[in-house]
Amino acid sequence: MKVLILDEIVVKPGCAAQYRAAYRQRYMPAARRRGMSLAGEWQNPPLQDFDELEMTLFFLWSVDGVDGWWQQRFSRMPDGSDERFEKHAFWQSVAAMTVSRRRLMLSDQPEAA
Amino acid sequence: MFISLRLLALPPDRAGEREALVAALGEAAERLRGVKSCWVAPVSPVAVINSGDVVWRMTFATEREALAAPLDPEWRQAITPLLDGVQITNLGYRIANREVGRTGPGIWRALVFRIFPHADPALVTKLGKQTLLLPKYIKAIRSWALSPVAYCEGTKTFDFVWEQEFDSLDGLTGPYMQEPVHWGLVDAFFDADCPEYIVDPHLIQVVGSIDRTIMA
Repeated sequence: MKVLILDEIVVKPGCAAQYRAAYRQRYMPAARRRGMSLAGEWQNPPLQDFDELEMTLFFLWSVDGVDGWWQQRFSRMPDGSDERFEKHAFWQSVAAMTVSRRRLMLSDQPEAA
Repeated sequence: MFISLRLLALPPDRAGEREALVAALGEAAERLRGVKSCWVAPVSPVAVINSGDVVWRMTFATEREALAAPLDPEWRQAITPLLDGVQITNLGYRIANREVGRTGPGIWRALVFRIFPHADPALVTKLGKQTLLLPKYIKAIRSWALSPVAYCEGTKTFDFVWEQEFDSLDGLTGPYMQEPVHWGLVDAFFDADCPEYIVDPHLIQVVGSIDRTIMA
């Protein structure tokens, strides 16, 4: 079973490129080390950044089941220390560019209605 | 019902006294005024965080009686010497939300945590409501209580005590961790990756063995 983790981030006007770069360069490498696989990244409005408009960025991650979910949640630094402080530091570092943010845990829907 | 919960961390030179301390505290507590029930046990060697060596939980009818207990001459005579050099986290809380289920041997587990001072009060309310979904969906939880802390003494402060009882440690490490309400919803308040993150990462998880429910 795959568990999906969706980051939905509304970014302030004019900040989309800078936010996208920060996420890709400073969040993604650590997330991959935690066993997260990037399943897709999207944006709205589509195709183009607009200086005048807020931009919503979507990053969809996949982990292997519930155990894989806890693996990324309880991740450790290479020296064995708790990684949550680095995670928190990243989100605080981009907070000034953020209007709002959600992280949703997703799964397939049941086959039966 | 008012609970007095003490978590005791022994100094290195008393590390071998854990069992003796458990026995002595249990005996001394029987002579304290106002104590309705007492459970004192060694802390589990696994599945614990910042919990110390011994967990000591006493029930009183009122907060007044719980606060008066350390002033009892019996305390000064019999208990104070036992606690020499011991680092104590002392929590007092009134049982607010709880359900007592089946009794019997098992484990008692408590998560003791603090909310960041800047946390949005609406998120704190949401955390409380969603936490109460856990016993509804995790059948391994026999009894539970979620209680706001009335007073706290120790090196850190704490705001909530989330207690449960299970048939065994497997209930905590298995169904409790696998339940989607836990990892898909409630954990967000503890997860630094989530915008709901409001729980101080320095929390306490304490586990001890029980012969029967201690939450009645």
